[in-house]
Amino acid sequence: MEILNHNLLPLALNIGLALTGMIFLLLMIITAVHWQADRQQKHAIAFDQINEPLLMSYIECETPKTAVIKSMEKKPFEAMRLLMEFSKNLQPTDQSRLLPLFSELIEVDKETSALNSTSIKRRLQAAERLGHLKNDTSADALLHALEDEVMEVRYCAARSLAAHGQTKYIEPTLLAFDTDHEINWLRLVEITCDYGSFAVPTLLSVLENSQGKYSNNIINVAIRVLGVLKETQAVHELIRLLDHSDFSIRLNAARALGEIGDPVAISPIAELSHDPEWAVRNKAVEAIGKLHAKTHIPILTEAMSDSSWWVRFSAAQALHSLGLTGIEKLKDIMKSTHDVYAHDMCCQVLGEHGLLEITNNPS
Amino acid sequence: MIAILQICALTILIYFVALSAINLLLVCLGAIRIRDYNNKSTASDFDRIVKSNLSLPISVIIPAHNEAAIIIGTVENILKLDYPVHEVIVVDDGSTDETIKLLEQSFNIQRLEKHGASHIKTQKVQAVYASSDYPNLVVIVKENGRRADAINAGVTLSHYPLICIIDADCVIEADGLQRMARPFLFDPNLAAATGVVRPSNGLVIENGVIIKRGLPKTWLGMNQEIEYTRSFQWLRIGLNRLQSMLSISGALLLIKKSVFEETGGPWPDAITDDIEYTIRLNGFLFDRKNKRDLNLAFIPDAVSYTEVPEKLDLYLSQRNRWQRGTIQALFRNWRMFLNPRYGTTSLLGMPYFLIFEAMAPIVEFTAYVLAVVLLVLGLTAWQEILTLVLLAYTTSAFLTLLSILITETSRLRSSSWNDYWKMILSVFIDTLGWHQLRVFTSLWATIQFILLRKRDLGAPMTRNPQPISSQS
Repeated sequence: MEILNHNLLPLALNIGLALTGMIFLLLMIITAVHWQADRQQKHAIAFDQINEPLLMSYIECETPKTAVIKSMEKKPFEAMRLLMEFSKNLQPTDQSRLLPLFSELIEVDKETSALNSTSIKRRLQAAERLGHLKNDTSADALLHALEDEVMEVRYCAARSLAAHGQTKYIEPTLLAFDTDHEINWLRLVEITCDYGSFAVPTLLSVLENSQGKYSNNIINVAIRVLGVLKETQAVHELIRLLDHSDFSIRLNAARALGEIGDPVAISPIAELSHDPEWAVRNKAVEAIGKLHAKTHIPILTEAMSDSSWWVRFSAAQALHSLGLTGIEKLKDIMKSTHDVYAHDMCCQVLGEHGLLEITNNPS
Repeated sequence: MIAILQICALTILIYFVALSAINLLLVCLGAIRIRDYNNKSTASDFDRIVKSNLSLPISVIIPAHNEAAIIIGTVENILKLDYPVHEVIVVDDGSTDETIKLLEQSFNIQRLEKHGASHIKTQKVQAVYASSDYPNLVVIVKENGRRADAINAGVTLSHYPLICIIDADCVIEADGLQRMARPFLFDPNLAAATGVVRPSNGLVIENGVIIKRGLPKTWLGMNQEIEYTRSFQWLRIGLNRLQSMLSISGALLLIKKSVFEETGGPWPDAITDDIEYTIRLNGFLFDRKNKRDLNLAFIPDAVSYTEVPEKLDLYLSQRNRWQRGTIQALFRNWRMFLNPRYGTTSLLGMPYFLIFEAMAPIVEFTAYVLAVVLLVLGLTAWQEILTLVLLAYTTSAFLTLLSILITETSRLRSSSWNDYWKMILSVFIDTLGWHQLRVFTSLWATIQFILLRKRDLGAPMTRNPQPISSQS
């Protein structure tokens, strides 16, 4: 008896020998890959050692542009990598000094056509590079890239458009990312915040939404951006949205008003403390704390007995943020309440802030 | 009798061919997945995550039981991770050593009142401490209830929507959390993610920061380096592509808190809670009745380092526990086996896990015994056995070298030529003894689990505080 029959034995032997050959081949490939990576790393270090001081002196106006270009253009890939790395660590004013270098080293036509490449890596690279060229040709190409099938490329194009800094690109960017997912809103909020306060007029027009042009998703993004930018011009429009039928808009408006910190919003926000959605009540309570609305301590006290743990937690934190008055109120609630949940929450928040007597030593 | 022996031999041969073919497929899938991942990420993604106030905050849970030797280094490392908002929750699971005392000395922790909102039941929490020096550090002291129970207690007190679970001996690359969190920013349906785990034994760490990467000094450590490379650079990535990654290391898991709570957290009585929880998590994510289209991701460039045993008795004890834990996890989740309700997880992942992971030691041991029996009975020629051994050896070495190739093309490549050649040499040594030792240990563990009903956690790992802790 044999495990393998007569025909299979030589086959198995041949496969074994073939695999042995392939192992040697693979070993050579891996060694070559390791050697290549090692070499690239050494070259990159050497390139950086020569060109980084040159860039520093260029920023300080001690070296002419031509000298930097001459030194860097021999290795365009390394040059782009170094320029982008270098740019990240500079102040915005110094970053603009690099624009002529980017303009010389990036070939617009090549990068524009690369946005249509089949390689996702190349499209991403092109979208990233075009962000450093602040001209209409690159902006048009990036606007087109907002429709790319790959989300990562679209985000990269949107970031690059924001780097151009022209507010006319805000609306197409918002419209290109109209999704239900809050996680995508956050990315869009980040990108829109890159425009800074220049974005405010566009965002206010989104909130007005006079022709029903924008979805609730886009309105939510606009609200979040205005909150992050702490834009007081938006307060009245945001107060109007506290009555919106969509709970996410009410929630985000309350959050934004809390972030902006205008006391005008205190009373309208306080009305949300009875909203049917716990998440909205939670944001309203948080906002009252952020607005230091001492006049609304009774609302926070009432929220300490809310059915939601998070509302109770936010109410206790809000009371603590009001200073001595709020802390005294927390202590009062802890002593007098019959609500075990409110009592526990008072203990927790006072304990967290070191305001509860420490009974045991850790060791 | 001869017919039975022949059937056994053929079955084992088919098993070997099937395993090799599947592994080759997994290597290819893994390589494709890594290429896709690298294609879609840019350095600016990570810069933005670090700078943004809107990055998803993360609660890092570190369960610790008698980890005084290494806990300070681990906490320092996690506190220094380059991520905009993260809290560190150390859960002291009834330690009898000086874990708490050391934490108190190093981080100036003070007792406070704190309760959580989760409904997952745990052993009693005795005290909660916060640090006045590090506002994002919380320490929980609780009654002993095993690692899973400690994790559940930590999650109860966490604030943030993403939970990162690691072991007390883990060290994470400074950008580890950024890399783990990035896919969550693009995929709203992503429920959990894991990354690459590698041995930490060759690292040099100062004040919680990795300053030099290297390989373990011993051959036993090197053997595990190869094993981890194989497991994380092909098996898990490939299996993840097929929604069949049924083992996520306890050394690195990032999961949405909502999903963690819905699944009820890991099972405290599990021998290996990470394996059992991964299977259950897969069941939850890919359950067609849920219709939620959730995902599980493997992040090939997020790296966590864990200490591997370099003493033979500890190594064997660990492997024994893993094997028993694997079998226990499969038994506990048997309903998922070949159940179309869970899609490819149950139709491919579960059979793969059962046949090629849990049963592998039995099949391989049977093959060795059969070879000897057939030779002794004169039913086969030594040339034939030698041919099959050559085939098995070359296949294993070839596949492992493919995973080394994948590693060398990534940022996880060997840091020096010395390390490179040491890795290559280890590939060829692994199958000459170490592998067989693992097989025999796992076989014994299988017998202990099924026949002797052994359910304990085995010998505790002895930690080596050098060079991880900056306190040493």
